[in-house]
Amino acid sequence: MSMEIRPYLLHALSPLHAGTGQSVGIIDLPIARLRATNIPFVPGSSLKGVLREARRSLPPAEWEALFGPLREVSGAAGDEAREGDHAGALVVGDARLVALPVRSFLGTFAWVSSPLLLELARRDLAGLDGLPGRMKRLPATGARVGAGSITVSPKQRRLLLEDLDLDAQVEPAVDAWARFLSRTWPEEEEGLRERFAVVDDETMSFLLETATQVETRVRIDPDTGTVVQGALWQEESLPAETLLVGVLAAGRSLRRGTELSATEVLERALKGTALLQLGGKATVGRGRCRLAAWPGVSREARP
Amino acid sequence: MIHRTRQQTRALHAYERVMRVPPGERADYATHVHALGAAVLRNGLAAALAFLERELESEKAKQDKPVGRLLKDLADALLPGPPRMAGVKLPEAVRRLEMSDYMLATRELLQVLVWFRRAVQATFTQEDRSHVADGGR
Repeated sequence: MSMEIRPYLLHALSPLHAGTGQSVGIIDLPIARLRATNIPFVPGSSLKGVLREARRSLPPAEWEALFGPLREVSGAAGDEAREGDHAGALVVGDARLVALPVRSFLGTFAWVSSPLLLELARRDLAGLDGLPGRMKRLPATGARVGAGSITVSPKQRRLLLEDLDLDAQVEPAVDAWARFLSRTWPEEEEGLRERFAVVDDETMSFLLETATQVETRVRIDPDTGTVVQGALWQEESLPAETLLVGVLAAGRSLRRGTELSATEVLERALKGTALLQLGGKATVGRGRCRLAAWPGVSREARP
Repeated sequence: MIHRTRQQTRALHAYERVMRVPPGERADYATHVHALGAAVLRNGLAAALAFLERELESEKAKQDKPVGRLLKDLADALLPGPPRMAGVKLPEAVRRLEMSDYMLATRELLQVLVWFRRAVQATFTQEDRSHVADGGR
């Protein structure tokens, strides 16, 4: 079966809490991370659920063709074949971190990535026009920035992130990545080019653990106006301005009597998806995101 | 020689030290264990330890010294970077680290603190850790 692929950029406009539930670690409510790399991500299932709700205005048959029929019972108990069952035509991949906003002494903050994060993104973005080439691994602790970066001290040529002072060199590939990522935005934003920086993978691993947003929250007893005993917890979020990359794919509709090509499936899934509410804690302002796909599609054959 | 995973080693150290904390120090010890991980994430390792260092000063006149005890327990956790047996001098030792060692020490301390937190929750009574959450909400 032929699939059409549309990579997308997810831009967090407010802190994003795509969590894993309660943990016994330092943080009571941590964010989801990929097991082997510790890279934060937003599960495709989370985004699919949000898109399913956002597309409620579609004709019911098309809506079902895109997302598949809803189970009568949630979870494993409801996972049984039924008459007329079919898979949804839309495949929503995980969105993986590509650039983390990190506090900077100059320029307020920097969008920080690493050769590993960019290489993983390149796999998802393969086939798109203008995709920058491979970023070489940095041999030692340090940073690469684009010409005209506002996050580097002009005299010492240093990137001053949180606690870390990193020697910085200008690298044209950094500019190329910033321009490529911002192509998905309504107007190419100069801010990304001015603040985009690539640090070595070891430093990035450190930032992945220590540069997320951690908040302490409490629950107040309405009778006493004080904190309920034991009701104090730590919550982790990806900071506002975080950038993630993922892939949407589609095949033709498999719903009997509803003919939709892969292109039509993607058009319906993405129409008007500029702003979405993703992840948990929405009622306290978390998860406002901008989703935009790169123009142009690529195709791949799947058995 | 017995081979253990790093998690086992951290767990053994944390439980052994937490069980040594006398009843009179437990509430403060638990509060600092609970707060330190988030403080490291928010402010950085050096700043978080400097906060404990300041608390040491106010502890001098007291009989119970949970902050000094916690710093020693952390220093003895064989963190990569700071010299062993730094004891209450751990904050000073951390301030002197080279950057790559500092990053490594931060990550290791966060892992060690997970076990200190678990040990406190499993060992101390509810009264001992009255300021500590039992988990997320």
